[in-house]
Amino acid sequence: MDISAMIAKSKFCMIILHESQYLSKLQEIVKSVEKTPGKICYICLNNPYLDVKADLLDKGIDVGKFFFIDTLASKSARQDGSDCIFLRSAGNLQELRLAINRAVEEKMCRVLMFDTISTLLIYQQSSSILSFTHKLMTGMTQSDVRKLFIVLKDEEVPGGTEALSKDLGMFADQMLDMTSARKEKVV
Amino acid sequence: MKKTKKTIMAVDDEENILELVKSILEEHNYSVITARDGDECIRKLKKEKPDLILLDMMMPGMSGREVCERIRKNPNTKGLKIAFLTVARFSDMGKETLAKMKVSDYITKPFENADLVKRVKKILGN
Repeated sequence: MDISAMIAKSKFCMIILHESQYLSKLQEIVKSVEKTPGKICYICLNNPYLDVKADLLDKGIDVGKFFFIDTLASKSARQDGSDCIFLRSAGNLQELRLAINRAVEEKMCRVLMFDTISTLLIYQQSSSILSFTHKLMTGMTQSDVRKLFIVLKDEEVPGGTEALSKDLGMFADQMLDMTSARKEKVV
Repeated sequence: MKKTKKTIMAVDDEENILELVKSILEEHNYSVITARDGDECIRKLKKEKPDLILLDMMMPGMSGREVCERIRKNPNTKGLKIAFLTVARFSDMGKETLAKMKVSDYITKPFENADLVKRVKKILGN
């Protein structure tokens, strides 16, 4: 499936990846997201902003298309920049929501990309994450903002990521489960 | 012969919603059992067999979807009628999942009292 087309025709899409596919598939996803019109808010939940940005530059991706929200940087690495908001903790969903609102209203971001929403399970219960994402979908006044949630299937969290992906699937317009492609390759 | 009251189980983590649903439905001659989360619901279903379960989607612990799945998997409870009573706005894909789980209806919060009663009556066929 063409990921950029999927994002273009849905408000909320979800991509499920296995942790072993993460690095290779993330690159493919980001390249597709780059093609979508408007500024993209990249919410760094898995890797700090500086690492993500360096990686995008390395892959020849236009980082100018992106605005970042970093939830992971150490205190010393937090430098106020024009293309990033640094948060003190990834676990504070209220703070994250405010940062997302700023990215949408002030930086005119039209795509929100969560890399990866399942990382929040380290800090929050699945129900809090579900409530957070639902509020993002229903409470955002800018109706043209599209949301892409990447869910990492992690067998280390028994039932956790699976329950979250099934629950998020109740709200998603489109879902792409790339883990089946992984199994096909193995076979 | 005395007519038996139909029993409804309301499952929600918000106490005020449980009280509201209970008072509205009791006023219309239903018997109402309440549960504050999915675990309490599953536990109570070992003893109770309600005619309808009104289930919230976003609750601490098990989500409404998980509770629904567990009810459907248990041979003793799989045939129970379930409706969602939730603030959640399901996508088309979500509505397909509800249909697969044989969910009778979904009522969005906030709701009109009369609408809740009407929908419950429709599900229960009275």
